Amino acid sequence: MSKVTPPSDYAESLRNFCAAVLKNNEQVTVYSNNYRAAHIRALQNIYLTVQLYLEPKIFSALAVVYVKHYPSTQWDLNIYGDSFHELLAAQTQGGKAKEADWSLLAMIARLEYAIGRAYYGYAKDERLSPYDRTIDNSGEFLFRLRQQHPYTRIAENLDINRDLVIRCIDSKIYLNNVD
Amino acid sequence: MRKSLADKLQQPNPLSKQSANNLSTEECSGVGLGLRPLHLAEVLKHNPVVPWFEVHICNYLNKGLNHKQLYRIRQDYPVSFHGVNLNLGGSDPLDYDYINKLKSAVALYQPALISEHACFTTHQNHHFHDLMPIPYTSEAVENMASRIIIVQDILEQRILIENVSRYFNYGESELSEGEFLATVCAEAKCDLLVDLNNAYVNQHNLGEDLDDFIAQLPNERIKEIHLAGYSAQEDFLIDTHSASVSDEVWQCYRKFCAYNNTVPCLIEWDSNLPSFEVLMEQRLIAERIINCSTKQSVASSH
Repeated sequence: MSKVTPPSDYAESLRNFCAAVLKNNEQVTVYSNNYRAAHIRALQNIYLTVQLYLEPKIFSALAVVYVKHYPSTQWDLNIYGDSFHELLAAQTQGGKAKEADWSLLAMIARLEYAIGRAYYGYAKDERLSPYDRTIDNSGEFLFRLRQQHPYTRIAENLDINRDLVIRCIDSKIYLNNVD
Repeated sequence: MRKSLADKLQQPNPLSKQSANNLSTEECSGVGLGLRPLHLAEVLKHNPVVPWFEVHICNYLNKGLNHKQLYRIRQDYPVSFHGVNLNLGGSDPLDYDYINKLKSAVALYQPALISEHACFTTHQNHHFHDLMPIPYTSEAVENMASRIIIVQDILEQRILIENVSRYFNYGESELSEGEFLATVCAEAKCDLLVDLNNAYVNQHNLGEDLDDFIAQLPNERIKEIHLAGYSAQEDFLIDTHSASVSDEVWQCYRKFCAYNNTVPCLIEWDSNLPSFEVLMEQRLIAERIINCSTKQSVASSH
């Protein structure tokens, strides 16, 4: 199959445009804003429960940092943010170390990311590691995960195994074999 | 007795006819709705009277849990696919993995229409997740047309390309947007999706005359219309799809229908989603405009 080789002048125009967007050049402010907002919104959509445990301004600040340092390399924005849990875990060493239980938040983030991957069909062949610590308030965060993620109620209108995703969360096991 | 909207929402879809594989065999015609995840369950539960739905197919390509919902809906309704990741205007190599996933989805759901955007979204494997403008040059025509031809060959189906809202003009552009799209259509033998809201936003922000834009497009290639709402930031308009269709865009649609009222139309609302009833109200306004233009054209022919 023939491959398309674009003219170099054209590619250069696009390259300059992208550079301007990432540098927040005044001429392309709308695109710079769109870029930042779309990626932050993606993190907000994925990490619904993490947000409940953090002040909005702290979550926003972390999201801004993440978007700045982690360009999206996948076409699917639904699975952006795969390393966000690492950023949360790293806060145990930062200036806001006492603002939250960052280890717990990092673990919740991993679960939330896995829920999204299952919903969008990426989790068929993978496993989540077992939880790596005993959580005193596990009942509370599991309840919140169920409340925050409409994906966990998806079985209501379908013939698939009801509450499968919820049971996976409760069982502290991986999310797969959704067929 | 006149039925309430709530009653209508609970009727089985009378437009539904099904093929042997249990998929609706209807074409996209009249006024459809953009189907967003928030409303999947509601559509499954109430089976509202809507001629067709458009889905953002990128959300369903991996056959996840949501795919099961969409397939159930597809049994009752025709659907169109709307995508944002073909990167038709890009200079990166085409993503054949993505295209092949799209091909599988086309085989599974059998969409009546497949549409994409006349823009670029990715550069050097950096995905911007935005519809970014390209310079309208002969090189750009060649680039986009050749990529569309490849995509159509793989999908074995024509696609529609959509005009985008733009907030930047390249100095190197040689063509207007209308001329560019018309030339790409001719070269690639593809069709057009005309987003009147985007065209209106461009007219407002960039001073590009909407009537001139429409006049430059090949009428016979226009296979779908999009209507959406914008946001205003001072005197600048942003195509956010977060509000009802503006009076100005309704007016543009009336004008378009006087010119061509047979093109399927879609109400597109992507953020700050309202209740499903509000979407239905927007749909009914568009339907009334089509009906009104039909009566006027019949009356003028007698």
